[in-house]
Amino acid sequence: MSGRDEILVDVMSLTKIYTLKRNIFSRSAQFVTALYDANFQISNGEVFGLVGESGSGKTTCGRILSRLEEPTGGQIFIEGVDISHLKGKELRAFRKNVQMIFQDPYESLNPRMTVYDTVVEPLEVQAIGDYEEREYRVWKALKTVELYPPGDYLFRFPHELSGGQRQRVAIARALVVEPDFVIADEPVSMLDASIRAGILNLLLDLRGRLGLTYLFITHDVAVARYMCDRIGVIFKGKLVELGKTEQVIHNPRHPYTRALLSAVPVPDPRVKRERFRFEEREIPDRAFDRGCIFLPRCAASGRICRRESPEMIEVEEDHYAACHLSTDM
Amino acid sequence: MLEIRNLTLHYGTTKGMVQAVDKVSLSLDRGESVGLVGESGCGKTSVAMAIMKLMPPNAVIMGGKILFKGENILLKDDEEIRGIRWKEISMVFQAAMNALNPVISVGDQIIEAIQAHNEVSESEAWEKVKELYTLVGLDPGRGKSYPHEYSGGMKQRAIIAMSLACSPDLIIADEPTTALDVIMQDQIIQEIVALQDRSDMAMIYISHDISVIAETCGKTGVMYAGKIVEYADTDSLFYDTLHPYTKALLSSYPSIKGEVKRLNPIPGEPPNLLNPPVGCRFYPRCPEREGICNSQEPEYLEVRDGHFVACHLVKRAKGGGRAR
Amino acid sequence: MKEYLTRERDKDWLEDMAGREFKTGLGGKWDRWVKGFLGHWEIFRKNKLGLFGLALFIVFAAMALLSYIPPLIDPMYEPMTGVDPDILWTQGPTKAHWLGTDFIGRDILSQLLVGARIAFLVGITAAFMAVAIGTSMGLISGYLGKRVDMILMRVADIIMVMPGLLVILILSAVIGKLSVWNLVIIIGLLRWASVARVIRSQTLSLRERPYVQAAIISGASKGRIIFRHIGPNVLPLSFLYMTFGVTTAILVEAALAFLGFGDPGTVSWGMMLQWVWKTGNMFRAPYWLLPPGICISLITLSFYLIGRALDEVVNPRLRQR
Repeated sequence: MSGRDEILVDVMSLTKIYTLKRNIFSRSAQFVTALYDANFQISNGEVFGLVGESGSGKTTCGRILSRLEEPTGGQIFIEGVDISHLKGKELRAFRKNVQMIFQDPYESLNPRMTVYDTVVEPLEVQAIGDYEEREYRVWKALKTVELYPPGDYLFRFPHELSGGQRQRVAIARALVVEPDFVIADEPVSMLDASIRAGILNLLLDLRGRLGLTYLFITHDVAVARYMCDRIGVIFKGKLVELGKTEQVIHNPRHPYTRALLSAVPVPDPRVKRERFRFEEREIPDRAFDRGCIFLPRCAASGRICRRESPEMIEVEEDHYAACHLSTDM
Repeated sequence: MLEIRNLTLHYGTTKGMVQAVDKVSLSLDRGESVGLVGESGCGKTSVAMAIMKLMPPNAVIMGGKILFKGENILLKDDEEIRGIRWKEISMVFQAAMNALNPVISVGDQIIEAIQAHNEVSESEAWEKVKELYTLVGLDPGRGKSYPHEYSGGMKQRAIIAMSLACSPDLIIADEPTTALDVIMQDQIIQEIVALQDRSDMAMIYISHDISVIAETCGKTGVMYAGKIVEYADTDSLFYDTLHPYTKALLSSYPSIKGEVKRLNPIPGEPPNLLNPPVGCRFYPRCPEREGICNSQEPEYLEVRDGHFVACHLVKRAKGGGRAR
Repeated sequence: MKEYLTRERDKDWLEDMAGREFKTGLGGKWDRWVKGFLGHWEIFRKNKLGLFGLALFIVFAAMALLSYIPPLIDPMYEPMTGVDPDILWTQGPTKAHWLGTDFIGRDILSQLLVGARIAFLVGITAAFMAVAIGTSMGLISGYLGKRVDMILMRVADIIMVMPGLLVILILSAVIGKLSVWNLVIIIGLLRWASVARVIRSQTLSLRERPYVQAAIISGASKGRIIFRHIGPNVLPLSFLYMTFGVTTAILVEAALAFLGFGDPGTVSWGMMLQWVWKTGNMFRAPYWLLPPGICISLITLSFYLIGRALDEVVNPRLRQR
């Protein structure tokens, strides 16, 4: 087994630009930049969190890393292989290695397929094992996600399961091909609080027991803090801060991170929060290299922020922020 | 001002009667804010709907009273309720911003609401709209815009403005910020709390997120499977937690402050309300249960000053009955 | 690569699965289909009009089956060739001929029964063809998108715009007399377009569902996704369109036969109407004119009502509580 500090996922200058309908009559087209120049690495066995609000590009990032879509620019190396534009047989081989868990447990399973059909499908598609082998794997996968005894669940349909159970089936489906890397896109945001905790703990246990690596996408900072070793904060397609979770949470260096953290409610009536000012100006869609992306919202901007887009600066060991003024804070 | 006594509400379905709300009681005075927290299916939204008499057609009130300013709302007819709704009690729903009519300007929609309950001229109503906008943090000049020209946060604020249009005595907010981003949510919550402080308005805030309730409400009620299991002022609920469900619920929320503690999920599922169990509804999942919990339903008692719990174990430990 | 699943055969596994039947393949699906069907029947049953439509359907189906009997009783009841030697012109109902005879002495009732048979065959086969083609095109177009989508939808648009009846008339004038089966094929080829459009839009929405994306991430091929994931979820809609398709097919066939473009060798209700009209008996022989006309109307009504009731089954939002 590879060492814990080995880099499993290496994302370089990842960019994704969508072209909206191009008019046949006009030359121009409208572009939407979902992701711009994202750079980060995930070590083997690490839980890396991507935290951002809706529309920030975090889901797009997950979709690209799982190759549901191809990047417009940049490269993604997973276990040393550039997966950005793989096709055919190589793409299929990649799919054994990287799996995904989705947000909506109610839509993650085909309503007309039994639990067994759903979980065995990846094995059928990847032509793994023979009939008996597959039966066993499915059974074992269900046991691994704590659906016990598995035999009770094998032939049920999704509408007979609760939200938490469905999400476990989705996890089993992801695990059945024994991937190294799992992308979890808001896996608990549609579940009740008490069920959420169960799924989060399960994911952490699986990481320890099976040696998995996660990309954990969420908008909930408290959940990210619980789950992730390192997090990246993303705003309108740009990574603005990156580093060890505790460092980013306790010593945020980017104004957006500070605003975000100060806006998170705390389940304790005696805690008073200090809120950071946050302007609500509209952000026009414009080129990313003309000044800082956060400028329209920033309460503490300087002149340089208008001219240059900030690079990621190391503010502490393994803690980076893309802000010109970060070192002054 | 508002007193709910033993409200029991069932829904008729093709499979039978779902006992969604069972003997729920709470009270609210001017200027107070009560949070109702619970997971999906616990009945909190049903209680809110009952107060406004906005229940779906298959809902049946099996018992109890909802006294608003001394009069039982459940006994009033449609005409009377319409007079109260919006004027004295108003409501902000989850994702209410989607309920805005896309072809009428937002300002006009608020004016409709105002004029339906007050004899005012259109220009007077417009003035009120501008006032309300400033109150909720919106630019008063944007009243003539259409819903699609507003962002999600702005729409939700407009909805809040609309609910305040007639200066109600009580406002019921059912998950008003769930569809919004964290930063937007925070701003709106601040607005709501500020408004409530300023105006002496009473508020019932319903949410599944206990963090939000911790920060906004003076008192909190925890609902489970159609019943209130614990009710106290918010500080006591968090620092002197009595009911096992509340304890379990509190330990399943992660926080960004303090140490990172292992979350404790609650095993099992909430009971089927078509055929609720005889004893305590939390019995199968309760880590502290005992024999009596299975056979007898616990009474809802005031165990300390203003602190109510429905649990056999608490009753026994504290000597049972009234406050000391 | 990890090997956490295949390390050893759990003793647990053997115990847990020992008593259980492996309910996959036909076994499990059968159960599901039966339960599903009964559930749908419950919903269908509540729609009174749908039940009426179903009743009519059963009546006509019986007619179609009974159509084989008259010629067995007596060759004079043969719809096309059976001529009662005692009667040489159209006559009203008598004991021997319950609905009377047509202009050359053939039994009208026998003709009516065979007409039911033809209506069913033509209606169902043509509708089935149209829906089968339409569903496949819709699925492929919706899922593959881009070029394929564009081309297929342009073709569909062109077909939808063509005035169907006119085209058939022209074709029959050019090719000569059309047999019933030719007609079935032509109807099928002309009617798939509107089905395709609807199925395509369903496919587009289903394509974005997480379970489809999960299948893609597992490495499933496009074909597999279309037929295993999207297809079954689109079939209820296809079914629905089939019932509406039957009404159109029957009407088209009747219209053509009436206008004289039908297959002279087949007795259909439309054909019967043509004969009444052509031989100038329209106002003189109500016993001959009315039965086929009424049957066409009723069978169309029957399928339409069934279709509407099925709509409630397929579309939960239409159901009454």
